[in-house]
Amino acid sequence: MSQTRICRFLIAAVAMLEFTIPASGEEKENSIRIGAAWQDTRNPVAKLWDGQRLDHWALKVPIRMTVPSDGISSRASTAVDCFVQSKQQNVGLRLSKEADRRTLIRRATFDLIGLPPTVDEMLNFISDETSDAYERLVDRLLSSPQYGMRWGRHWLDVVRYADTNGYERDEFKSTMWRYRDYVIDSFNTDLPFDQFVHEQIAGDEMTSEESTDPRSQLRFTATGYLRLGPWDTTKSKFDTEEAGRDEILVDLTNTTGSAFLGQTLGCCRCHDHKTDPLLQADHYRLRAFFAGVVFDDEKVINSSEEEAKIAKHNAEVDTRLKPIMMTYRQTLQPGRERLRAQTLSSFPAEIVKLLALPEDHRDAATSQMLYPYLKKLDFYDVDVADQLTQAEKPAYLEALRLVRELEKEKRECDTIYCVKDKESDIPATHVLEGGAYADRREEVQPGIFSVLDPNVPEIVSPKNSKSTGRRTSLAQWIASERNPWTARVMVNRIWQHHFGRGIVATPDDFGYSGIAPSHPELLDWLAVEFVRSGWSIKHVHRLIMLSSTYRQSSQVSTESFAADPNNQWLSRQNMRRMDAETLRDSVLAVAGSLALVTTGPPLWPEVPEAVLRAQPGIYENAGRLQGYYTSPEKSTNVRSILLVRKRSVPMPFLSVFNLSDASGTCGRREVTNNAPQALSLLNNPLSTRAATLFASRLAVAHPESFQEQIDDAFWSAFGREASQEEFALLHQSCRMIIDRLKHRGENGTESSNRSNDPELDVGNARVLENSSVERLAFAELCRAILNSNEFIFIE
Amino acid sequence: MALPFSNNHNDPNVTAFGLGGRRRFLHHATAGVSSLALATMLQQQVRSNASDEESIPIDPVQPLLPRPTHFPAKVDRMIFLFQYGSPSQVDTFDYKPELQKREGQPLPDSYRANPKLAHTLTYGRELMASPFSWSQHGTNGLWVSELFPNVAKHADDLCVVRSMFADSNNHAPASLSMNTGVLVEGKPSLGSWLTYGLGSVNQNLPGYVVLFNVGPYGGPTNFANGFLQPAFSGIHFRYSGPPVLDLVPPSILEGTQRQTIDLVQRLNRMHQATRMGHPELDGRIAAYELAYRMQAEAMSIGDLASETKETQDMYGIHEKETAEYGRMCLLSRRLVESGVRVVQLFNGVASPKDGWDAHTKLFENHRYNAKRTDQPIAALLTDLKQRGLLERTLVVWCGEFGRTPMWDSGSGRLRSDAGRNHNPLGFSIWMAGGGIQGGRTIGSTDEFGLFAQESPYSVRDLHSTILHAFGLGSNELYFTNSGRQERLIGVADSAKLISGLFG
Repeated sequence: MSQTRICRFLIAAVAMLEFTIPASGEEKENSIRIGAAWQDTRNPVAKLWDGQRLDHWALKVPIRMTVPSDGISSRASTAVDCFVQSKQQNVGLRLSKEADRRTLIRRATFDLIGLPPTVDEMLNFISDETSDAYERLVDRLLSSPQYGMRWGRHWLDVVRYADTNGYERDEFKSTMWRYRDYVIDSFNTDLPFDQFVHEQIAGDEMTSEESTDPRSQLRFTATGYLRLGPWDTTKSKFDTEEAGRDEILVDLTNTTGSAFLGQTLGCCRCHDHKTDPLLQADHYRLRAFFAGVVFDDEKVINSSEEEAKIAKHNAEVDTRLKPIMMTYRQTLQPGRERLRAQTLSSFPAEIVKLLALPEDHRDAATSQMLYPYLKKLDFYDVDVADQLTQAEKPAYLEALRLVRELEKEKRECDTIYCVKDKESDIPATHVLEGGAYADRREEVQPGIFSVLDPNVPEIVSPKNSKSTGRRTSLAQWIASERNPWTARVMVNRIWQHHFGRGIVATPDDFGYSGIAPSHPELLDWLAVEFVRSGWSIKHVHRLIMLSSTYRQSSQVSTESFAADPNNQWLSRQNMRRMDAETLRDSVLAVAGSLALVTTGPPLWPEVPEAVLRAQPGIYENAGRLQGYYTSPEKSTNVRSILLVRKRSVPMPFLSVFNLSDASGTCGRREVTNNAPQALSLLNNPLSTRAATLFASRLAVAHPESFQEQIDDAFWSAFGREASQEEFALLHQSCRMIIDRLKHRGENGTESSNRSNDPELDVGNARVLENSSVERLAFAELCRAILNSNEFIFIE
Repeated sequence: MALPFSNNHNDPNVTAFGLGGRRRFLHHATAGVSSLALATMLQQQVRSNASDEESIPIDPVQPLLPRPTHFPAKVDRMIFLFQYGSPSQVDTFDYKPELQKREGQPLPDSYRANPKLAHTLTYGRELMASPFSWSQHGTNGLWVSELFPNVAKHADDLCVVRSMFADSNNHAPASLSMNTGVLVEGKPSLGSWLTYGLGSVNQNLPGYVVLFNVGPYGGPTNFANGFLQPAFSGIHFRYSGPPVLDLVPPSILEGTQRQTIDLVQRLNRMHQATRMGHPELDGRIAAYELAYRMQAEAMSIGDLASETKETQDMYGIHEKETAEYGRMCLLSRRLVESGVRVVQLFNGVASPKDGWDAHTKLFENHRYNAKRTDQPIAALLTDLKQRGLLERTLVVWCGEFGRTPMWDSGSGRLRSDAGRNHNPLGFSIWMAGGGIQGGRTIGSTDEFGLFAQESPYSVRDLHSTILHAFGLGSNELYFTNSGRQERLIGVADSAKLISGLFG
């Protein structure tokens, strides 16, 4: 397994420089080890900060911490609890009591699969009196295929996933989703994280051309990570390819720094880092590992037999197509001649004369001058067809039909978006003055952070002999237990999604400007345990979720609030608002309309025309995949991770609920609660439609009883039954709403200046159209339930 | 249990949902926020790291509450008339007699040798005189071409900066740069920075509104909040129908919104009764009340029919050519009047979708775009002035770059086909209002209008100047994002002020 393969240069460096800080007693127990390259006064990094910031905690490789045992109460059931309690002792806090069963199953289910538990699942769990009921719950959720959908989504935030290029054209990358599926699958199968890292950075180098390893295609797919960044395809049009190349390398360097290492390499692109012991050169040393990267956008992933079969089939189709194409061209010929004559007549006479010359008589200057005119003479078939007479048209249309029919018979190979290294002439990497791509300073070789090792590493030869091995060397260093950051950064990400806040609250910044860990010993214990388990992410989930710390109630006592309002010391669970995707998925799930498909090309949710118009590229050229290709409404009732992520058109509903921005690593989404969100959840067709479907589902299930309908609604949305008081409230509200609906329009204050607006009323709650007033009123109750705090907050 | 559909209950408690009840309820909600929540919010601002502390603390419930300036401001709102596609300076506000004389002559070699030019587009060789006639306006004789006869009447209000330069010759990056300060996607826009820094006057409307039919090159990233919170994102208002997405429920649910929100709030109060110490619960309760008020206010602000016939005609909202931009300009006045901090107009139209991007047919293209915008812009300036708003409102007119004085070699050489290529090396913008000294020009280009020559100003300088007008220091206004101090102007001290603008 690759975790044991440590990059040779690193072993050498560590062997030379490793040391143990002399310590005694408890300190000795917590002794730290580090490749102390920074102690070498020749290391240029030693000049930074007068050597002051060089022994930052995160630079030291984590070692196994002793689990504290002093003063640990019986509430502690796992090692995690002991670490947490030992901190609580210092501030006089305790763990809260365990949350009740319904809260626990709701919390665990949202955390692991991002959906609400079903009513049956809840009832089963609540009545399950066996001692390992909770453990089995966690295991069941971890083995659900929906688990990868939830945790894959977290990872996609980290790697800035989107299905399009961004910028002016924002083209759709039609097979980028295979990378998304690779991520989902990796989480579901608990692919060891070191391997996951390695495959994304250098999967193409892990496989030789002849390999028959079934994983090899997945490894190529994994390098989609390096193809995900925003990319301006108009750069070539404007002679600014060099600038575009620079932007790609900046993106790869910064993203790799923050996603895997929690290091802010963006800060030292233009100058030495302002707070961390990172040199400007370090940015470029890291960048040099990617210097050979070129995009490989149509790599075929079929087996060679399959590919040959497809090629043979297509060749046969082509043989049949050939005579039909000839006929097709002939039917267009009269139109072509007319259009050519017309176009020529608009050119200056001298140009027409020059055009009449045979091509080999034109000198370079003439050709250059003629270029724009020749371009105008290169007609599209549709324009040519417009010139055909009524008599000529039928023959053309028939030929066109035959061509299309045969074209359809052709089969395409499965392709992916990935990268490879250039085989030769890898461009040199220079430090760039002020980060400006044209302002080159000294050349640098690939290298890791100087503070860890300022030397030039040996680059390993990869299995794929056509590649440089640079990225393999980088991947081996990153996915190593001796890397001080990798394991810590990942366990911190996992912790954060279970508590709403990481042990390090700045998950993408483990430097000086990041926030120091609240529980450094726990972080290291988890990191070491993560590596020891073979980098198993599911193992870390269990470590966290089986603890009493995770299972405690989120109720806030006066004393714990007063002592620790931010809950840094974890004397209660945190209450968390659903994130954007969880909210959308849960609204659909509760309404009963969520389809649990697991894979495939992204679906395009209906978006109002007014929103699409913000991106003019959409209307420019559908042939270049710049458009917005709305899928049938019903097919889009799937989990949000399966919806297209078009960089220029984030889905409005998700975006208002703090969707991540796909321009760079987003390890932590801001959580806000504001009025535009309220408007979206109240009025967006997604929720009005869901409310109606929810109401219909309840009406069908309990046709006779209002009370049963309300009970089911409460169980579905909140995981409990309605109280008498709540029931009375809903009963009253329902009657009032019915009353309003019956009398609306009579003094319609609310609707006075509303115009008919099909454009914003996407889907115009079509399902509502033939509903009775009673059904509408019940839909309104459901809409209120889906908007309530109890639904949207997870305790 | 009887179904409530039968109308045989007449519970007097129902009236508790009436207005009086709701007022009491609101009072309660607000009291809740101010005591418990605010205490926690203050606590939350205590961060364990120094640099984060210096980002501006934002009230989680009301992120748009007004915030103090760094120093006294000259303006407190802005209308930014973004001219996407980029108008040609030598056909609008930068009169070049030498260019007019040398029509058809090659650009001198001394110009062609300039490495900046070599590095950018392949230009046509020959100079192309402006096909438009020019005249002087106002007390100082400001040169304006025939394209803007109505704007020209405001010559004494306009300050034209003729020496701008941009960082890219490509639309999307240059547009992102003009709107967000950088060439790449993902950074907050100018309007977002301003609302982050200052909040807004009206809590019932967004602080930053964008108006367009078709958006700018690069799409919504041009007016997005980037790493700032979504409350500071540009919100697209449409100029007919319900102005904001999701502002009102589908028509079939019309009329019961208040009852539904009341029910949400009652459920929330019951839920909260046993859960103290969670300010986010108060936050969401307050957000629903605000949403209801926003709904009412945004609906009424979009109601252009409430303006007098005279005003409507002044903006040309009933004329075919000016209707669209006229409505946008009129709406923008209504928005700033109601206390919206920043309104940004993108002039794009569905056809031609490229705005001012006249690679070919410069004459037709500029005629068309100017005709659509000239009268509405002039009306906006007149209207703002009449209402005393111009003094506190900055009006900015600019594209993402300018156009070459040479013709575009791709456009063909027929005079009627000729256009101009992109020119980031020198272009003109104008500003008005907010104590700006009008009737003047700042800086200049060379004799043909190709390079910014005297007092060249970058996009960052422009941004810095705009922040300054709002009383914000471009170094002092920053946000700590993933350990990095981010600013509109990028690295601190990388921008200077446009001097002499405010007299």
